[in-house]
Amino acid sequence: MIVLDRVSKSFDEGQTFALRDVSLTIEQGETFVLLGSSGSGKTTILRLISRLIEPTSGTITLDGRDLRDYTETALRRNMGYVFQGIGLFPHMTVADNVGIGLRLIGEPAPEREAKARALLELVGLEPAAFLDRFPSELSGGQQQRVAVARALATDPDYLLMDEPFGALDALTRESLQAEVLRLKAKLAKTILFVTHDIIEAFLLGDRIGVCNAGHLDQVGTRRELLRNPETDFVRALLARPLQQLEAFRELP
Amino acid sequence: MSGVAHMLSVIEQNGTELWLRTGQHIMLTGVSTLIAIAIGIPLGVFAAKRGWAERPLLAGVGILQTVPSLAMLALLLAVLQQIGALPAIIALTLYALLPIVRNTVTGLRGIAPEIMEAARGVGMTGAQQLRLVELPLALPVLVAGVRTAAVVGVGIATLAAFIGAGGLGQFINRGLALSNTDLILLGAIPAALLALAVDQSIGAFQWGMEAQRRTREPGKAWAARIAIALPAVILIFGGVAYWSATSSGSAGQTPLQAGQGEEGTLRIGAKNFTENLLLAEMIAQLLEARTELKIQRHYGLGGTMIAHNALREGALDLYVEYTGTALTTILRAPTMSDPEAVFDVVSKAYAKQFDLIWLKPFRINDAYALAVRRSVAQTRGWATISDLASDASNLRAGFTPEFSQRPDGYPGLKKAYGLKFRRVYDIEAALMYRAVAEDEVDVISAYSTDGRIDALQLILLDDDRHLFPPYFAAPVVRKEVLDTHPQVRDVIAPLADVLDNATMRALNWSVDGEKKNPRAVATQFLQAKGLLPAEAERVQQAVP
Repeated sequence: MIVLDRVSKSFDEGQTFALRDVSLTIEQGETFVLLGSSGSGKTTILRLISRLIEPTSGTITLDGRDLRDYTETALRRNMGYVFQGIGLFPHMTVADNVGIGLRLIGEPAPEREAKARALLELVGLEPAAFLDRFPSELSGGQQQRVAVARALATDPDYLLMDEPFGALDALTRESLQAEVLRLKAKLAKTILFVTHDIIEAFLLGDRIGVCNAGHLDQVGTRRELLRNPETDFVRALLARPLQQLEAFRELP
Repeated sequence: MSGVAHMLSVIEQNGTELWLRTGQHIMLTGVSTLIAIAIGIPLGVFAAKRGWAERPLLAGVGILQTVPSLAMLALLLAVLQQIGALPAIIALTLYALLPIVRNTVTGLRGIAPEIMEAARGVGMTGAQQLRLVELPLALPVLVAGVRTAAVVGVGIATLAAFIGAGGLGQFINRGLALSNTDLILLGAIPAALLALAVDQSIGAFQWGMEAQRRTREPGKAWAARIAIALPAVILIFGGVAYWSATSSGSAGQTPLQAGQGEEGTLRIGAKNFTENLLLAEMIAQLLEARTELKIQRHYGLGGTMIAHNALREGALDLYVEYTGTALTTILRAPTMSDPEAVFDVVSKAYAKQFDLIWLKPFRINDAYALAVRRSVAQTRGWATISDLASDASNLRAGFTPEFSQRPDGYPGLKKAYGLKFRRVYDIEAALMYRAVAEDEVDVISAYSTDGRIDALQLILLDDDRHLFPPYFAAPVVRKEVLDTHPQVRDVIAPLADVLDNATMRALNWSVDGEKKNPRAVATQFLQAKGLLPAEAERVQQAVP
């Protein structure tokens, strides 16, 4: 369980805030989606949780302990992180990329490779064909599958995914979303997923938090959000897909 | 003989020494580049990680590189108080730092921030980020820096010979001193080839690192491994060449050693010009024949300050200096024209300030003198420098840069004789004699014992107003050495009676003009004067 208690983050010593007074509880085993446009603060929340940055004020606890009580490396090794855009190491093979977390905790090479094979299969890539390839030899979708496999390698309790499919074409994105749903059912991890795509948020999230200009406007299940939008921003946001559909229908 | 066959015979004659010098050259460059890598990469990492350190650090190593190479060597000589490999390696290391530090910083800065965030995000410690991500990704840029450093190093290492560190520069240096093109090429061509080989081997290393990572074919993987090993192969080759040449013990000069001499050895230095080398060699041969002392030769030292500092700091025991040079260059005293007064001042000051003893001067006055073509002097009726005064405004002068500046050089000529030439050209000492002989200039700042004066039909004009201070040659010895080995003084003394300016000019010419081996010239002269026994012993000495 991850709890944020009135967390604020400013990158310019308090003149402006990327995040202001955000309180949030992510329950064990749920898939929580942070939904918002760019600059809304959703990625900042993710980076705060993995301590890539520190909050300006407020506290974050993980399983009841303050984040600062964990060493940074131990904390991150218990959180699989799938990065926005390029996150794979370009000089390492797929096998080395997937196995990097295991290497950091001193797992021997044969075990790492066995685990990499299993994980590639899990994310739908044929191990024999991919283990020795380099990231530059893969398509965008394949790269993100490898990134997911890497995030799962140390069998972490938490999975942080930062717009992992944002740069992919619609078809690939759909197949990877299906993959995440499958993994979610199979692995029972706590997943924190960041996206700006409302459909993706509704598809994947057990609960959804709507970020708007550094605030968390509303948190709830898709049903709660649809039935009872609490702010104008949330109402407008949820109206967008339908408006788009209308516009699409009216095309000559 | 064709050029190639001629060059091959030059190589054959100098075979063992060529091995030694190539080996030394590779060791000098290799060791200094390795040290620069060991220092430069951590410095580069530090500069890249701490933003504030980058500017001062890069500025610092940048400034190091702007120091002229010879000045750097002379400076290190003064600081370290020794000649030989150590100051050379330090100088080469300092020059190699800039490309290595700069490329390390550039390489690390060039890594996408997303990749570094990923490295932190998967839980790497700072050291793991560096080892697993940053250095591997920066490697191509980093190796390019090392490549630049090593290739430049091969070039700069040719100057190491000036401070007695050996290397291929030794041939170049000696060739310049003896006006011997063969020797210059014997140093320059292998140095150029070596630079090429170093460049290619590090290029191959870069390719190999990349190929080894990428390839899945066993054949290519082997090729990659071989390519990666190439720089090491050159280093090992250098070590073996150096070791085999020194252990066969025939290279003629003791290389690389400096600092205090061993018991029972005497280290003789010579500056890099023919006369100084010939006089040093005569002294060396006399001492070898008449005493039990083992002689180490450190020839080709790149200038007065280098030789003097080496002697002062005990890295040398003896070399031949000139009274005028000691007076003006070392003691910075005003010039004087009375030879005895100069010797008196100089020998007293040396004993007092440096614990160095001037032995009895040879009757060789290697002073500045104005030289002109003999034919012109006859038609115009020039015998003295004063005679030039009326024609000066129509004459072209070729002076060494030093002569143009020194108070007892051109400025003194202007003052004492009222001479002002139409044009003054800066010209290398080695080239000026030919320049005046071929009517490129009319008058030059000759050295009065140069063999080319007679050979090229030049004559010296009489210094009727006694402007030029005397430059009598004399051995300068460390007092400590003379105390331990008093016989040195007596063994050298007879030389003073058999040498004079005319003799010296002839000896210089047999080396500069007739391209004879200076060692052989010295031996023949000493034998002719009855100072060395003939034949049997000579053969033993001349053959390694």
